[in-house]
Amino acid sequence: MRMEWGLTADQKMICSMVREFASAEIAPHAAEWDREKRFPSEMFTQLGDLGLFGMVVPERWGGAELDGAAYCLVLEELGRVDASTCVALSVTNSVYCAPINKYGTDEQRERWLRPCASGEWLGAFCLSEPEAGSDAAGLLMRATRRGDEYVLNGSKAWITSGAVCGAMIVFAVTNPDSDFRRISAFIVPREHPGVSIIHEEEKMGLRSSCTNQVGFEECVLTGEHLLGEEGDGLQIALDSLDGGRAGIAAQAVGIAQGAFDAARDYLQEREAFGGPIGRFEGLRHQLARMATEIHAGRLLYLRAATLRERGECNTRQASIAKLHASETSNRVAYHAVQMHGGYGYLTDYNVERFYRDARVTTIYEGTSEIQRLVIARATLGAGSNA
Amino acid sequence: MNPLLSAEEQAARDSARARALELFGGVGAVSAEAVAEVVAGVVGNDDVAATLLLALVVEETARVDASAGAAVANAATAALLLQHTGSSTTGLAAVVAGDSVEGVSEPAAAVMLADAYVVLADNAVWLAEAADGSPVDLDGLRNAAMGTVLPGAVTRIGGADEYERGRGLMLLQQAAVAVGLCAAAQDVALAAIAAGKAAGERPDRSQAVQWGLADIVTDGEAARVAVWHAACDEATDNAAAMALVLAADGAVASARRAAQIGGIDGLGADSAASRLQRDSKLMELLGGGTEAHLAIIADALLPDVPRA
Repeated sequence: MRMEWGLTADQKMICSMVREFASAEIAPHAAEWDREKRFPSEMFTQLGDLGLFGMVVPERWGGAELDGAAYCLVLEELGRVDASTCVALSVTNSVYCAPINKYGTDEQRERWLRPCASGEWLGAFCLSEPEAGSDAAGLLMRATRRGDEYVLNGSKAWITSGAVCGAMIVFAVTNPDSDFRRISAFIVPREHPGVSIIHEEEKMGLRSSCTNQVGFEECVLTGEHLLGEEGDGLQIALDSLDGGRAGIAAQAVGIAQGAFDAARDYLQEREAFGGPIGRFEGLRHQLARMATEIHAGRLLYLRAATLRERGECNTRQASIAKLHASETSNRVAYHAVQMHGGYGYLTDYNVERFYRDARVTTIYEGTSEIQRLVIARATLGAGSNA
Repeated sequence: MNPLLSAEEQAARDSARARALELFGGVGAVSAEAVAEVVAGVVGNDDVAATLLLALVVEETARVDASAGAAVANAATAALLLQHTGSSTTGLAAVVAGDSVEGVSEPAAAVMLADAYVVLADNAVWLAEAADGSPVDLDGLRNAAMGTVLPGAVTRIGGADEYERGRGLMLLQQAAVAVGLCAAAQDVALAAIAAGKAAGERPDRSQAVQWGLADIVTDGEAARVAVWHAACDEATDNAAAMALVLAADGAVASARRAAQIGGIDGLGADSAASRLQRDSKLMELLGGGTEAHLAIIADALLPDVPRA
């Protein structure tokens, strides 16, 4: 099959449906939700009904069974109007549903995947800890074996949707003496005894998404909660993040596109020195650069998502897409604010929200610094770890 | 959607690299015969296949030698335009662009190797078979047989549509040369790292080196997918201009990073790192310059707001 960049009929249809819904139902309220720092539960009920919680999950488990590129295109559409809504869906789809679908048993899929994929509740991913973010292998939280049970003790940080999810995947140390199989993954219902929300983070951006520190105290789990085999945790985490990175790249492209759209509209409407400011070469060239970088980001995430869809390793491509798209998102949002002048600094205009929301994209699901290490090591081959 | 190269396209890319190493591996003058041989392998396919194939061939050739890549890009673009317009000429043709068919063209590669010229001017495509090129001495692409042409007697072989197609193809193939330069910068950086390791150092473990390399790879890949996309999009002006802006910026930045990774010992007067910097700068200047390409993109973004 020849290289072909055109979207399929299904991809166009889902994009169009989500764009229409996002424009009509999310965009008019996004600024208000952000201002009030309110997680819009009622909106997520509708998003769940649309089948957006388990987009790449097979239909037999309640999902929409979209391909990876379509999933990313949906995230871009959502990011274009509201990055907070987008991130909750990204986490649920790529680092909750996808790993359970891939590594879970049928019993686990029935119990913890189907309700989420069919829109009943959101999922969460508990990897980072207050003292371990980028260094995923350096987790401290323990899952101590007691007979047939595991007992979780510790806390997890930066958990998207922690307080509003139905269940979460939690990574904890089960074998502290092993180099490569220290960590295991567990599926833990939000209401499970011993799970508590320690606090909700006050954030610069993504303010209508819910980000929590989650505590686990004498949280007793059985083998049915274990995802994959004991010791598979790091592999599951890294594999999930590979899938998530293309999604975050798509989200970043969406934020950039939203900021770009606002800037382009403003250049056409705002008049100064006797006409629209969009006639000035400096601003036109800057707008062209913004469009060009966004275009490349989109192509990169589509390529990374397609590689993964084909079952090929996409670690390097996903990191390239995430690095490029997230840095682009920040640059584009910065220039969009600048093009708006003083108005860009006011909360009356959406560009300041895009500017704040873009900031985290170079930080979460692997910082830009970590992406550079991944890309370099993949290019240099083994033996280049600092 | 299939944003990945097919097995055949990947094989063509691999084979182009092998052939480029054979034909242009030693830095030196680029011959008309070698260019003609590469061009013959590209023309004859349908438009989209030929455009993508040419982009792959040009990238791999420019990765080996930017001058050869630029010459192949130009001569093959001329051949594709001749094919597209149902025209022909004897010998090697090169494509040149200018404001008027009666004036001197902008500088272009392969001009001094060509027997005839496809001229893009006055919103039409012309064939000039009796003109001679005048050499241009630039501080980059020194072996690309760069020159200008005063077309003289011409035959009109295409109208506005073919003109637009020709401009898009020229920009796209220039972008492919720049992507080749990004890849060459990666090769130079990797060679410097390997040399450091051979000397008992571990530059591959330096984060400064790793980050520089990652940025070279990322910029190159962003430009590469944009070139491939534009090639599959029938090389519209806008998509090609975007690809060229990304690729030219990427090539210049990557050349600078590769030189930094190589350090002072890698920057001899005629070293690969030095040549990369001279060649890549031309990518921001040829074909009207980055400002002209940004103007094309901006005009499409703001169709109702004329430039001041």
